[in-house]
Amino acid sequence: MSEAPSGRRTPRWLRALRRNPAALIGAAAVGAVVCVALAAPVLAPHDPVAQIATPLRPPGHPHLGGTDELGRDELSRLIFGARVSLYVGVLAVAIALGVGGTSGIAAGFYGGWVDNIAMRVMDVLFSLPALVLAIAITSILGPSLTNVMIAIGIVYAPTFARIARGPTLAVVGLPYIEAARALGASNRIIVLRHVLPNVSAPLLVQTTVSLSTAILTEAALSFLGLGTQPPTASWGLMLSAARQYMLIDPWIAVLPGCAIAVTVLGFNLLGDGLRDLLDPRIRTL
Amino acid sequence: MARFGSPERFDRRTFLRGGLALGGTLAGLDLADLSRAAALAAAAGPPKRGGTLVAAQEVDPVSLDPHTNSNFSALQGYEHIYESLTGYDEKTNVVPALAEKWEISNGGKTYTFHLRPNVKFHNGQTMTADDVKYSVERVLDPKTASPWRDWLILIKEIKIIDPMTVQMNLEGPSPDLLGAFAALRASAIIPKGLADRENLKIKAVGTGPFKLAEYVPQDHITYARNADYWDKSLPYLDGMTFKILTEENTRLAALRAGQIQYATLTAQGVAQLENASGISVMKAPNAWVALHYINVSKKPLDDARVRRAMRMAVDTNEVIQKAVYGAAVPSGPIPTGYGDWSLDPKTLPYAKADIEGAKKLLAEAGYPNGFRLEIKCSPQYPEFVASTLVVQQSLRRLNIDAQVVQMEWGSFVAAHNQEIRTGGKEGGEIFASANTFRPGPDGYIYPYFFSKGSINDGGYDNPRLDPLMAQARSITNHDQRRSLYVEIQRALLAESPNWWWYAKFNIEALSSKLQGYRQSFTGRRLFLKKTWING
Amino acid sequence: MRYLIRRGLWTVAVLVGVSVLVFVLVRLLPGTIVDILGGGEGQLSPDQRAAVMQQFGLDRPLPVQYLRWVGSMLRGDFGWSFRSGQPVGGLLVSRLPITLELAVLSVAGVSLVGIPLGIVASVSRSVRVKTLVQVVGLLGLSVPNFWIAVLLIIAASYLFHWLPALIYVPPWTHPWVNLQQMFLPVFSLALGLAAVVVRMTRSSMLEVLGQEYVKVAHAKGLSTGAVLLRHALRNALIPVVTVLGLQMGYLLGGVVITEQIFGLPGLGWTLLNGVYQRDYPVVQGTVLLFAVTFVVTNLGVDLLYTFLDPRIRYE
Repeated sequence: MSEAPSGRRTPRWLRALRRNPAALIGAAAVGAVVCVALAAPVLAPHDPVAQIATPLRPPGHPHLGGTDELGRDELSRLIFGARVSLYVGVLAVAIALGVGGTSGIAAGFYGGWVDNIAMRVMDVLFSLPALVLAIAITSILGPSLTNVMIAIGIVYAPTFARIARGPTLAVVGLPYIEAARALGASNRIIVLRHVLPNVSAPLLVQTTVSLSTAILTEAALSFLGLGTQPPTASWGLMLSAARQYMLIDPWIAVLPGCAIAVTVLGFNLLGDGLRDLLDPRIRTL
Repeated sequence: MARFGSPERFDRRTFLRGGLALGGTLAGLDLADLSRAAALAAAAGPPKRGGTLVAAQEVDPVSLDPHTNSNFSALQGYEHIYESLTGYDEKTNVVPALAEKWEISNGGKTYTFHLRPNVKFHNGQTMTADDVKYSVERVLDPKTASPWRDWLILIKEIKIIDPMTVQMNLEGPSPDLLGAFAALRASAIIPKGLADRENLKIKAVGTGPFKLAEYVPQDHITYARNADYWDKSLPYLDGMTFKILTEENTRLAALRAGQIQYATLTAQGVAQLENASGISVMKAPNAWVALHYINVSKKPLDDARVRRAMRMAVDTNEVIQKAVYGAAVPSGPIPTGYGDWSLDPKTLPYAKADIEGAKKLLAEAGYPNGFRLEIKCSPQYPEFVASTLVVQQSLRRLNIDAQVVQMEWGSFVAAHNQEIRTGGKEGGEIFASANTFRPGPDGYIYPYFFSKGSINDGGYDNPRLDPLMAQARSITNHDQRRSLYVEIQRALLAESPNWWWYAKFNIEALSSKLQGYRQSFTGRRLFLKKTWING
Repeated sequence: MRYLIRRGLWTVAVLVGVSVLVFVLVRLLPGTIVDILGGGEGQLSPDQRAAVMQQFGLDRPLPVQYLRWVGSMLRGDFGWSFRSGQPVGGLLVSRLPITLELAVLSVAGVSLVGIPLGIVASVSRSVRVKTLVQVVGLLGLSVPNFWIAVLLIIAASYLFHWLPALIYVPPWTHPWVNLQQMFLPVFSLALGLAAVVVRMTRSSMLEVLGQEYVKVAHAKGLSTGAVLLRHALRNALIPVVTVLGLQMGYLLGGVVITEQIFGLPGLGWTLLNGVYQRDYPVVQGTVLLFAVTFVVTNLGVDLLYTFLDPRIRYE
């Protein structure tokens, strides 16, 4: 354990990170992707949807990432693709967290038949194959990026509900909650003060995990042509289009795949690190 | 009778101009392949009996009912099993099939077919006039819901003169009727009463060179040689198995690994084969016209100047390069290569993009600042998505904001149908699609552009062209018809109620062991019955 | 016993919920079988369209259609595919083994590899080993499985000139051919699953190893190996088993695209195709089958709990 010269001990989170370089890698990757996404208009050398050059050029000057099958700048598309992936991921997970998390807390809090109904509804949603459900929702709502996010959000909500329910049930059953209620604490206070702190850690971990899978789900939907609308640059859409050219121009197939891998891996590693950090029950030997 | 062009006689200069315009890599697409097939055939030797062909089918037929299907993959599934009164030869001329000869009388309103004797169905029974009457009436029956009924709709009465002679009386002359039978979309002859006894979607009893051995939807379809086929020397193969592989990478892998001896490929797929050993590739233009349907009832698309200006802004060769990797030729309403019905691609307008002219025209029509609209397409056909994106890009230069809406196939078809049914009020503005083979030039024109046509997008109504279209579909003099259709096509190209882009190449990869195969302008695998395996 | 009855009743409720949901959802999809039959080029006239609607019973009011469907299911008749005319029940029975085999082989393969890796990651004292296992394990999860599938196909055929037999052969006919056919699809599916199993095993092992009773066992003098096997692993496996159960959803989703790419006629592709073709009986039947599978799996998982953790008993 190193001690800073000023005499203060190194904070817990820094120690945890040092013990867990994987999480550090994850945080770095996610950070990089977020920065790229935020700075996209400044960073990207060209308009990501403009067909300005000869198609299928390998990386070189002036297109550092080469060009895709329609003659668009690959590098710009990769950069803007970060935006779409994060946008889809964040909004879909926000919906899932909002809808699912609230349902789970409500289920755990009220218990009884409310709990039963809520969990059965979640079971119903669980039994539908996720991808097909997402496809159905997107087809019904119409093809647009927003609807893709809504679809993914709905598909993920049950997972969040389940995760929120467990700790809520555990807390609500504790005797001091009854005592608090007897003392006149309102439901709102109980939830805010007692339930939320217990629930936030697992929800946070699940959020990072779901962010990663949301990106993969968007890629799968785009593979089937039912995700992002062309000509918007999304990594999933780029992969799907590159399928036809894999031996003609491997770059347009490899680069978006790597981008997805780095981002998703980053979120996953970060999630693991957060879980290690926040879960007080975990100790290493 | 109509005459059609042959793949070998296709104009090479036009091909070059169409395919190589953008100077990109076109690995594998060279002219030598066109004549390679002919050369190979010459060196093949005499046909040999035996062997099973293993092939890949790119889209599941879904249903083998020869009367109720609209998808081309269904035709590809049942075309080896069923036949009709007439058929096609290698040059896409109508030739006798189940009818040996026929007479046309009464001003083209009566057809008398003399059936081929001793033709056996796959269940052993002999084909007679009863079966012909039953089959045609089934197509005409609204309960069957045949999407191609319109091709035979003029038949008002079918009379059985004797067991080998059928007479059909029409409402009016139908010069493409014999082609309608040959095209086999809704004209297969099936045993009388078969549809009431069997589920024709997965069972088939026809007269064709191959019998249906097994159809497992979404997996494979197996055919066995029909030993009692009326053409005694055919087929040569003992059987064929078509494995359904929707992913082209998997088809390519199977070809490379020698697992399959035949597959249909895209130009990109061929480029990835990189001259793999033991595989030869045949390419020829075929009846597949890529186009955009335009809802002419919606402002500003109701103004021909606007439609023309938008078309002028797009470079046809760029579309060809990016949508099908160069494997197509520019085309008008009737696909290039369709006998002498189609326009010479060298004479087609819009060969090069003309932005200045388009801007002027648009301003003249009252839209100097452009406008916004939607173009719908489906990822079921990536080439249409690509062509739509090129269009979108080009329209930006006219300040037109074209939103690309990519829809799942069912939703796309539903939207298009809605647009047609509501006369253009709902459903959409522009749809990316294609026309496949039609039995005659009329099929590309009348249903879409006649004022009361059944698939008229938005109610296109041109009082000058209406009588021309009506006339062209009812006279039988070939030259007169031809000059009418030339005039109609030129007018349509100027008015642009659709945008027509290209006629795509049909690209088929075959193992070098396969001999005797010929491509067909119809895009079908008509000549697998004449194919044999060497060695 | 009472527990099983209560579970049974809730299961029925869930299945009814699923049936209503799928019935409604599939009818909300734009377009119907009529549009599909007409296709992009042909056209159906109004009288033809009416004939089709009547033929498939789509002209009846919705509640009637629903009751007819449920009624016939209770009689054992799962309807007939709009597109192929085949009985849905027979279709499902013929397709289920393929998807089941894919799922089971994926889970088995992944457990054999993933659980030990997860244990290593949790127990190892070397930070490098732990990091490596984590990163490599998670890499599989980070790449879209359809991409891996396509890469595998290209690699196999291009580099090794090999591709398994194309037409599906069930394992009881030709086990070796069948395994060859399943190898690539299972590999691409399992990669994603492996990461989940590795991570889950690792984190739950860490959790368990921090428990008091493990320390007690150590103090009692038990070797690390014995501690692992006898005490930690069992309890650690509970969340792993849960997660594997939940992964049915992932599997069924991944299975859909994998089946399409490899040309395997399984349930996933059947369902997706049914959605595309607006083939209501096929979609309804397949989704119900998935729901039943999911529910049965859950029940199995819960029963597995009682085996793994003697403290858990159901009232």
